[in-house]
Amino acid sequence: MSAVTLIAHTEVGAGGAANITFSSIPAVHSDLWLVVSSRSTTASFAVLLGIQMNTDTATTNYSRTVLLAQSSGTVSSSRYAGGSFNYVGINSSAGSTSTTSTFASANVYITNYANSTAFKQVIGDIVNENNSTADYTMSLNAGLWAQTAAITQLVMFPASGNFAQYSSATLYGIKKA
Amino acid sequence: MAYEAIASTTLTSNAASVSFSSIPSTYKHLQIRGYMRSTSVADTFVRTYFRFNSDVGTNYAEHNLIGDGVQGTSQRVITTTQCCDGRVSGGNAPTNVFGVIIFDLLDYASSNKYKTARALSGVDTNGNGRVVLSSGLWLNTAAVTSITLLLDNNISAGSVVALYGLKS
Repeated sequence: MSAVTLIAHTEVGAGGAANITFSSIPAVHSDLWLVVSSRSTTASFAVLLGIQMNTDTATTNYSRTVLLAQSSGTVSSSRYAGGSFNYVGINSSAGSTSTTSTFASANVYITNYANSTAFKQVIGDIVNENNSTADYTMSLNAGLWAQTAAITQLVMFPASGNFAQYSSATLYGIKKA
Repeated sequence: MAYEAIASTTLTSNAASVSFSSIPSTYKHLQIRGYMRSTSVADTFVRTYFRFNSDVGTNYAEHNLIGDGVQGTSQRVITTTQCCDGRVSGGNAPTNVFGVIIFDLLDYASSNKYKTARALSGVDTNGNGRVVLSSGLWLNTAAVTSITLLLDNNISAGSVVALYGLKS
């Protein structure tokens, strides 16, 4: 049996979409792997990509740490404790002022997502290309969902605006031996 | 299977490049995994170069985030002839030390998108090293049917490069 299983895939159609949701995620895998190609309708070259677990919108349950390169070569690292955002953020999706036809590219891993005894850790890398030496972002992100419940739903959205047409997300399950 | 091996190359002699051609459009995303070393004896670390569909024109942009054990820096170049400036071993690295690159190209067959590539690469030489997140933009909406990978100088024998397809 293959170790990598396709769970679901969504591509945003004409008119865009407020979010991409994967629900009824089966508990049969070990880890989840999200592959995302995203562009927001917001007038910016960089829009934070948010991921919520299950139906939890409580800011106290989400925190993250990020290593970020942006803005003409600036490198920085930041951390956001619980209470800041009601999602795990990934820096960042492309926006409507990014180079035309250009979408950010991300890998997001959630290991041990179906266990019911530990908090859930999210790691993600994302590059937000732009035909510019000034306006771009790329980052490594670690996020915590401080809940022991198994993850059965993932909701992704740009922190402002909607997903533009042709944004896509693919969810895979990874099984251990 | 959602993740399939498409092709691979294990070099038995030094080579100028590694290419994957006639890539089928039946997958959603592509991934290349490389275990690589250059013949460049002057360098401990060398950069990686990717080109699509044999395009050697100035149709690329690239950015990266590099850690060298002392500091993090970010490089950015536009209007250039290749993308995805990662780091693997050069010929001056200790014997038997190869670098690694994991390269992802999403929606490679889409005619609605310029192609955004993402790569994680690095090498540790026991006292020195490089770790890099790199990106590339190919300003072309054509489906990618070939990918060429190069290093500074030639690619050493013993290097392994494999292409995988992800389904949707």
